[in-house]
Formats: sequence, structure tokens, C-alpha cells
Amino acid sequence: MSKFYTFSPIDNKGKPFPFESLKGQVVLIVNTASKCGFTKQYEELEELYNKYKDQGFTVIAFPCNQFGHQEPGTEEQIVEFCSLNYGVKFPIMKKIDVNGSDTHELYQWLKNEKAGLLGFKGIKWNFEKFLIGKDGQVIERYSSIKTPSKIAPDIEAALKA
Amino acid sequence: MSDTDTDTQSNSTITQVNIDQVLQVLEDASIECYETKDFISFSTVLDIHLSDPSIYTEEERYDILMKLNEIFNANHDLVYEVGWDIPPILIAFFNCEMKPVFGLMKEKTTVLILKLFEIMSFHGNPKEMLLPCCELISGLKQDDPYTEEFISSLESREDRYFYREKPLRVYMLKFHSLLQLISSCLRRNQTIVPSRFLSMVISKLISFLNSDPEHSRQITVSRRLYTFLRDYVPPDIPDNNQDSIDDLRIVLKQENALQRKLLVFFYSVLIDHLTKPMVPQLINHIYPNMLNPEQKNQLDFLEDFEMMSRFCGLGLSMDLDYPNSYKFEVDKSIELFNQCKKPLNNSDDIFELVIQDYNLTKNRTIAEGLPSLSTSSIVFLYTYYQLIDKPKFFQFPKISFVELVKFQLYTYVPFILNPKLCNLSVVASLMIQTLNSLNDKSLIELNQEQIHSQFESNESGKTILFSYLQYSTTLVFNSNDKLLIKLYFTLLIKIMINLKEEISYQFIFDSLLNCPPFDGFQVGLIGILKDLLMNDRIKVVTKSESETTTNTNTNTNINTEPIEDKLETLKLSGSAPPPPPPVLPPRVTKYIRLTDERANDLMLLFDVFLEETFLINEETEEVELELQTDKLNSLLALLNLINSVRSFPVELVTPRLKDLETNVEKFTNYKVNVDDYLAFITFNVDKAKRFYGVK
Repeated sequence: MSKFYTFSPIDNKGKPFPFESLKGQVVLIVNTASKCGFTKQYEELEELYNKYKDQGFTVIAFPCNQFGHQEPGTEEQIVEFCSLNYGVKFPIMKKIDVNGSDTHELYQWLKNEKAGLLGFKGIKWNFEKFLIGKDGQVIERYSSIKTPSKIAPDIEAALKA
Repeated sequence: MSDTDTDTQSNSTITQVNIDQVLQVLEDASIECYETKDFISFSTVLDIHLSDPSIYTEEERYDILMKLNEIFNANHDLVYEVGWDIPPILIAFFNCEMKPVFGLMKEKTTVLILKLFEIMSFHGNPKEMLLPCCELISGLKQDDPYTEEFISSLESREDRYFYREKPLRVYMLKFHSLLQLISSCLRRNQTIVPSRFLSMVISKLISFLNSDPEHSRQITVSRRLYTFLRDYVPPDIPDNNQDSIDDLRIVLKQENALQRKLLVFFYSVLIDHLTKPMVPQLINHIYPNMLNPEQKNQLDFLEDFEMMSRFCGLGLSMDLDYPNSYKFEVDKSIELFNQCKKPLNNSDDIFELVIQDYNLTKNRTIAEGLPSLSTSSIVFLYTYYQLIDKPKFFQFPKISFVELVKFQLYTYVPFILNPKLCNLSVVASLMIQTLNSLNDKSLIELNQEQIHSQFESNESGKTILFSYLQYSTTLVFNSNDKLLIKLYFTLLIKIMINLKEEISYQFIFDSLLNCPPFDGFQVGLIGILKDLLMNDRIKVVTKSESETTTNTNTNTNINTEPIEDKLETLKLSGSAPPPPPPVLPPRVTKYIRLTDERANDLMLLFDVFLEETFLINEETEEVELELQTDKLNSLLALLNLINSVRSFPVELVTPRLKDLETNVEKFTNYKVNVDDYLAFITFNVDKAKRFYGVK
């Protein structure tokens, strides 16, 4: 069994979200921020989610305040912002660190599984994405500038696999 | 166009430039070079007519730049062929005078220059443009400012502002244009060995930092360099590459590793460079966070911190691990001292030990899995990360005082040897870390034990401690930074109260007698000595000490007690347990006691100060009296100490006060104009006489 399914991050209401429940699904993990130039990617992420959710796809957002302090709000404020501005329905987790000494264990695993540009493992900025296959393995890692709509072909391929 | 035509054009004088002719020459040359395939001739025309753009008026320059935009927009091949020659020409255009306008978009010529740079970045030959751009950026400096005479001659306030700001604005525009072009060249230059080009760029960017250190620390520059590092993307593999997939994979892996090292190296250099003037921010904002960790200051509003926070985050994204890197550096320094077999008799031995290691390792050994950062950048980033960007639940490594002393020697000795390496923000960071360690309740016992076992009880340890204090003093007082000096005294008193009184006293007295004449050092040190002589060290007897005392007493009793007492004890033990030993009252003593010997020492020091303060200059034919006012402060500080402590033997104080009075009288009689000083001395002498009952 992939280690991916052993993680159980805390959601925005403070409850564990066991990834075991994601078995057999294609998952897009994204570190997000509300005050970033890339924040509008929420819109495309929601579109992807709506388009493929019935085929076994989900997006999971991890708000993070480590890049330019662009996610300063509380969990409630983040959820309200995403809901009001982008109609986000996909799960939003509790704010975490994705780099440094307090990195969430999920991100430690993701970064080790798939390094970024030049082999640096660290997350460079908000809205980096990891695509996880039905078997819980990391298929691909995308930089912030890769918009969600451009990932759609990879999602479709993963869903068909 | 013939060479003769060209010569004729180039010989035209400044006042006789015919702009229409120049524009026509440029137009013709751009067509002619396509016919002859001699693109160099177009470059030559550009050099002849545009190498000194200041000969043209602003309107003429606008026309020329428009013409170049037209030519290059229409002929991308030409840009590819001659692009390498264009950046120096365009850079010269930035320097030209212009009518004051406000807002970049209103500067018509500047906008055209930037557009030309953009064309170069899209269509120039990236490999060939890289070198001239690197050369230009490496020596970039801000031009001299306009004279105040010129500025004040301007009528409008806006114009005065424009010309005051112009040198910096031009510097920024040049830097921005060149760096953007360099970045695009690096990205577009298809190669399987990008590290070669990146290393050239980085070496030139380091030259740029050193070429004009003050202005290269401007926030606009640091933002651009941050973006350069963050957004660096390696170029694509050449379309015609013939290597096998396996070979290519090996090359790319090596190349990726080299590029990572280069980027981290530049990041490290940049951090060291940018943080050098950040002592005030560290002491005014970061240090209070250490004292009140629960009331962490929100520092994002400070521009420097906003930028440093970005850099700190960038380092994390480059897999830098500040706590582990810091611990690694500290451990390395401890190992250096621990493995030293030779006795360390004086500070020269320490100097030799550290420098030998520095030269052997170039101050760097790359730890397994840890990217290499310079010691300076690690120290600053770690302090910043710990005290500003502190993760909520992370336990930072606990470093003891003794370990920090060794680490500071390891860091400071190269600073002393080569002042160019010295980063005072690193000194401030380490002083903050040392205070942090001494304030850390969980380290109190370890610190006490290590100070005793490693410093106080052996000569080499004492040498390490005293060398550390001496080198710190030298760095801090050479800096002339008042905030740093203040922090140093805060640290020094904290260290002194943690040492045995003999050791504290020895350091203070030796320093007062022998230290170099750092302005304010003696006065500060006398102030510390006064506090230590006057304040009580409350030594609470710890449980373990109490037990040791009890056990010792018991053992002693078994061996030496009279038999009657032993019987009494047996009787008691047969009925009920013996009562616990009485709790020892806290022992109260001064941090430094004023023994007769120390009183004598300080009086001798008084004599030295007295002699140095009142000078008789016999070099001139007439004897002159001279009052050394810088020495006077030390003398007055010592007099203040005598007045405050009030327990010096009267027989020692009396003759000194009389000597001082005699000297004051001499000056009064000589009518030297130092009345204020003399009055102040007299006031303090009178005070001392009252306290000590001297008539």
C-alpha cells in the first residue's frame, strides 16, 4: 500500500481527514494562498474538480503562509474567501508548513517522491501541485506557473489508467 | 555606404551633428549589410555614430532610438547578428541628460531603450550577448551625484528631487535592463552544460555586488536578485543534440547538481552581502523577540524584513536546513578545539589554530546532505528563522555558552584577519544567540558545569575564554556601532556574572590595564566592575549540593565523631528517623569582593589613569600642560566607582585624592581653558572626600 494512504491531515474544522478514504482516486494536492498572484487558479482548480469528481478525482488544498506571508488568515477566513470568491467545494485542509523544520509529513513525503526543478525538493511558491495516481503514487509535480487547466490531460490519463 | 562616408560622419563636431544624416546612415547600413552579409559593418556604423550619445539632443536621441526600434523590429536576423554589440551602446544612452519628468512611462527615451533591450532578449544571440552583458553588469556603479551647487541652483522643488534621485534611478535602470537580458540569455541559450554559463553569470554578479556595495544593497536590487534566483530555469537541450539518452541522463544529473550548488552559493554570498548593514534591525527588532518570545513583533511592515523573509523562504525552497546547518557549523568548531592537542597558551595560539583550519578547509566542508552555505549566512539565517519565522512547535538545537564561545572564535578570527569578511550583523546575531543561551533556564546547569570544567579549571580553557572576549571587544569597538557596543556590554555583564569572581576580575582588570584605547571601552568596563562590586550574588544551595554536604558530614561523623555521639545517633535511629538536616540559608556575597589586593590593584590603576590624564609636554621649550579628555572619562569613571563602592581603605584613597587636587591646581594656575572639566573633577573629589572622611 502506498504511504500516501497513511496520512491523515487535519481539515479546516480541526478534524482528521484520513487519506485512506482516497484509495482508488486520482488526487491533486495543492499548496494555496489567498493573497497571491496565482490565487485565481482556485477558479480552474474548482473547474477541474467539478469536471472530473464523478470519475474519481479530487483536489485537496493545503493553505500555507510561508511564501510572502500571503495566507495570513484563520481557517474560517480562508474557507470563506475560497467559497465566496471562487465557489470552492473541494476539501481545504488546515494551514500547514510545506518547507523548513516544521514541514507537514505529507509534504516531506511528496517532495521526496518527486523533486522539483534542478532536483531541489523544496516547494518554490504557492500553487505548486502534485498529481497522485489511483495507486497512491506521485505521477507528476507541477510548478506554480502551470495552470490547472493544462494539467487536465494528465488527470484524464490517470483516470483512465 | 563607403568607409569614407563613415569617416566624414564621425568627424562631425558635437555642434554640427546632422541628425537626418545619421538616421539615413543607420537605415542604409541596415539594408546594405543584408546585401553584403557583412553584419559587422552595421556594428561599426553603430559604434561610430552612437558610442557617445551625449552629442545629441534629447529629441535627436529619441529619433535615433525610434530608428533602432524600427530597424530591429523589422530585422530579427540583424538583432541575432549584432545583438552582442548593442547593450554597451544602450547603457550609454541611460546616462544622457534629459528634461526632468516624473514617471518612467513619461521618459520617452528610457521607454525606447527598454523596448530595445526587450527585442535583444527575444531575438539576440543568447550565447554571444551573455559576455558583454556580464562585463557591463560586473563593474556597474552609481554615477557621482550632482553637486549641491547645481541642485540648489534649480528653481523648482520637483527638479531638485529629480536630479537628486537621478544617479540612483539610472543605476537601477541599467542594472534591471542588464539582469533581465542576462536571465533571458541563460534561459534561451540551448546547451547541455548550462552550469558553465551560470557560473560565469554568478561570478560577474558577485563582482557587481562588490563594485558598489552600498547601492547594490538597495531594496530594488535585492528584489531583482531574489527574482533571478527564484525564477532561474535551466535552458533546453539543443535540438541537434546527438548524445544517447543514457549519456544525456548522466550529464543532466551532474549539471543539475552543479547548478544547484551555484545557485546556493550565490544565495549565500547574497545573504552575507545584504545583511552586513542590518545591525540596527537585529538589535532593535529581532533581539526584543528573544526577550519576549510570546509577544513576537510583527515585522513585515519593515521593508528589510519583508525582503529577508522572502530570502529566508527562498532558502527553504532550496532545501536549506538552517537549524541543522547551524548545528553542523557549531559542532565543527567544537571538534576543532577538542581535537587540538597543543596547549593553548595565548590568543596567538587560538588565531593559528583557527586560521590553519580555515585555510585547509576554505572555511567549508560540505556535510552529507547539507547544501553549502557560508558560516556568516548560516548564522544570520538561523537567527532570523529562529526569532522571526519561528515554526510553532519546532525545538531548536540547544547550544551551550561554552560551545558558542568556540563557535564565535571560529567565526571571528577570519573576520579579524580580513576585515572584508567581517559581517557585523553576524557578530550581533551570535551575541544574541549567546545571550539566549545564558538566559535559557534549561541550560543553566549545563552552562555552569561546562564553564567550570572547560574554562575555569584549566589554562587552555581560560585562554579560549579570554581570547573570545578580546576578539569580540576588538570587532565591536572597531565597528564604532553604538547599538552593537550597547549589546556587547549587556552580554559582557551577563558573562561576567556567570564566571567565578577571580576569572571575571582578572579579565576586567587586565583589560583596563592593557586593552587598546577603544573609545568608551574602559568607561563601560569600569561601570560593569562597579556593578559587580556592589551587587549581591545570591547563591541558593541546590538540592544536590545540600545532599553532598549532608553525606560529607555523615561520613565525617562516622570517622571522627566521639563515641557518645554515635550512641546517641543509634538511639535515635532505633526509635524514629533522624530529623532532616536544616536547610542552609542562601549564601549572599558580592559578584566580585573588594579584597585588599583588588583595592590595591584599582588604586594603582587610578595612578596610571591620573598620569595619562594630566600630561606635561616637555617637547616644546616651554613646559605645557595638557589634559587628555579621553583619558579623563576613565579617571572619572574610576572615581565614581570609588565613590559608589565606598569601602576602599581610606589610607589608599587619601593620597590619590590629594594628587588629583594638586594636578587640578596646576592647571588652574596655568590658566589652561579646561574649566568645565576641572570643575567636574573637583566636584567628584569633594564627594569622595566626604564619603571617605578625608580632610
